[in-house]
Amino acid sequence: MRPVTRAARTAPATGPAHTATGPAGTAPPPRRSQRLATGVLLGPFVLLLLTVFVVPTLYAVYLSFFSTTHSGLGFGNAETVFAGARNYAAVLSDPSFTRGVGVTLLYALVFLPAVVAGALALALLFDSGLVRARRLSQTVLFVPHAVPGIIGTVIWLYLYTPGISPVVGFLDDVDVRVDFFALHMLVPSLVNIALWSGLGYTTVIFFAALRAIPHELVEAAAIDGAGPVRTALTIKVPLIRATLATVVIFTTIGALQLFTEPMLLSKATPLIGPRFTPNMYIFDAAFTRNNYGLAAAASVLLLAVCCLLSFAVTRGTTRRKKVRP
Amino acid sequence: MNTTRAPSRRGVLAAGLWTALATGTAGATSACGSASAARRDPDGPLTFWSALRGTDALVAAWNAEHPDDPVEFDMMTSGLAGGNAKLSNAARAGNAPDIVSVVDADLPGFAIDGVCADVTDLVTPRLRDQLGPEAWTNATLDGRVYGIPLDLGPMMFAHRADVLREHRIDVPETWDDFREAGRRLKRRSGIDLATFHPNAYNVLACHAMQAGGRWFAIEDDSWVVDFLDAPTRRVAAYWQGLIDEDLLLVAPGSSQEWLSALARGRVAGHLVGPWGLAALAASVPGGAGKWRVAPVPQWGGGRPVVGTDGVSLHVITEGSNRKERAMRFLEWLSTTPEAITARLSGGRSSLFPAARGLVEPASRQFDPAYYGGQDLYGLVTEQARLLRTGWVWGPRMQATATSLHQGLARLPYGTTVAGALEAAEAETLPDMRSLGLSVRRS
Repeated sequence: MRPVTRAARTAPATGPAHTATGPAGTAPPPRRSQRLATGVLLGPFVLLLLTVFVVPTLYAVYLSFFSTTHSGLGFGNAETVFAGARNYAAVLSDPSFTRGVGVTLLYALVFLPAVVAGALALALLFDSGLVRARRLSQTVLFVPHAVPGIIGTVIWLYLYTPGISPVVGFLDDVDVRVDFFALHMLVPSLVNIALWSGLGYTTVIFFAALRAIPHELVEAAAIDGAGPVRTALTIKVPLIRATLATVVIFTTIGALQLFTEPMLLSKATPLIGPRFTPNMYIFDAAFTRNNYGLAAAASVLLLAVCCLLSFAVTRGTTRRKKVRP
Repeated sequence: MNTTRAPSRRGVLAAGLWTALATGTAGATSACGSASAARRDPDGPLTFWSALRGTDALVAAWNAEHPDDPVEFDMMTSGLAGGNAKLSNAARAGNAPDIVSVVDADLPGFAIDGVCADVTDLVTPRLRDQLGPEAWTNATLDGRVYGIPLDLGPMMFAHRADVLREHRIDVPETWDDFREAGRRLKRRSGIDLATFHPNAYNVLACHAMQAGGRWFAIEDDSWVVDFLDAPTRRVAAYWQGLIDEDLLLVAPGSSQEWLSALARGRVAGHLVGPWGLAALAASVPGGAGKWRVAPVPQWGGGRPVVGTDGVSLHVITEGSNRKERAMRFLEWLSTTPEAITARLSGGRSSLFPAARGLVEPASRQFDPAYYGGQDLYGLVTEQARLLRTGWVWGPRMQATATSLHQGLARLPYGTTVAGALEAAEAETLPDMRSLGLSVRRS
């Protein structure tokens, strides 16, 4: 999952640049060499898209309709047969799957506003020039993103675990008792890890978009008497709406695919079970329950939800664009 | 210009990389090839995976005695810790060993997945006779035998005799006595009589088994699932009551919290199968001489019954083409005194063998000094006669167990034992249905 999301996440950075060159693309019909160049340049992308996305997706869809089927008690009579929607019915009737979806939605509901608002505020601060050592602070903010998710989670696991964590120890000393693994603290603990690793990255994306805003617009606003806060909220933020939408899509999809962090935290607390999130459910179905059909059906359902969400967000933003002249 | 073309840096790197790749792949393929070729050779050595302590000594004893029929042994991790997944994957890839040890609860899953073979017709009358019905029940599904039982696991009540005596509390004989003893002990000393392990589905199942519950049953070619039948409900309510009254320590099995409570004398009892007695002695060395073992409390009314708390079986894999030889080895392993003596020679195991003739040699390997020299094997022999037969585990027990553990972990947050059982059942059914099994709730 990670590499895909990361590759996808880089899209917003190139997004604005792409739309900028878009209108200029009304060129005469390409020559042969140009077509060849296009082919060569697109080739690796198409090849990768086919081999690591399209083919596995189709295979998962295929798998989801088949099942190692037993009749009756099932001893020694397994055969793989077409099972229709049986796997889908099983996934949807499994309370652990629906609970996992609930957990991820709750997580997304907390994480999404936090990361978007936080990153936007930081990016606006950097852009306004109020921050002194901008380069340094940007780097410091960005560094956690360079730490692989697994390592980051292990670090936090250490900081969360009572008895070995200096943070919990310190809080304990000042009579603040925090159990990061308590039931109501699970989602906040996960959001905290995700914020730590994702905030700087999102800030950089927003900051890049803000830099692309024509300077005259900001100057004109200043001349018209808008203060820095007003300029930020009414000029800058609306101008980077497209970037905002893209970030929201990718963050939502990333949140729905929550896996690494809870998987590692599940080693520390029994409250996080092996089916805590939909992605963990898929992993458990395939590798603990040896039920590939079930895992495939859950994967296809998750993919469908991600596609629907992306579609909804894209539609929402383009329509709003059309309203504005 | 250079006329002598020195190999470029990039060229050398590329060549090196290709060589490495080529040799790597070649090595891997040849290793695979030879391994599976050896597995397929019907006259090759038997291969054997086990997570059980002492198996290496046992295999060494066999190999010394039978140099013409050697066994290759590999230690594996226990089922829940990854052993089950390893075995499933190996079976799918066609390179599972001939013989594997599994715990009773995982047997139906492996039988359904076609990992372990139906060995009904390979069991000799002598072997069938040596192991009694209370052992075969753990290996039999719908009348067919899928494994060879190694041990028996009647739950016992290990307790701190000194603590109970000091507070003038009799060793409880019924579960009502047990609750009363718990109340008295807690009131007089603040000590818990026992521990509730939220991560021990086998213990809860053992209690349900003793009370007459059936979580899974096989009726007319259909699985019948009911985690909350009347006996299980009774068990769930009983333990919920003890937890609510704060008479038990609630702590995961083998957790630091539990072991330190035992070591500090904050818990005065431990309900466990015979295998757990040596484990207790090893984990809490400071309790030496203070612990004694008693029969598990009864529900009262009629003949006493005891539940099974975790036993091991040896299965022959479906893919093996040396099943007869494997069975010969298994018969030796489960019924000869040399085998049990070698297995337990480390002195750190209190395994109770299923074969009647092995109890005496097994008892000589375990020093009961920790339990004040008590005749443990004699007591377990009596209790094993009371074992309930006919319990059936589910076809995806590891998943069911983790669901149950999930629910029980939420006990401090208002989930009840009965609620956890109900949730585990609800999460088990979809999985069984998607496998195409015929399932109904009773």
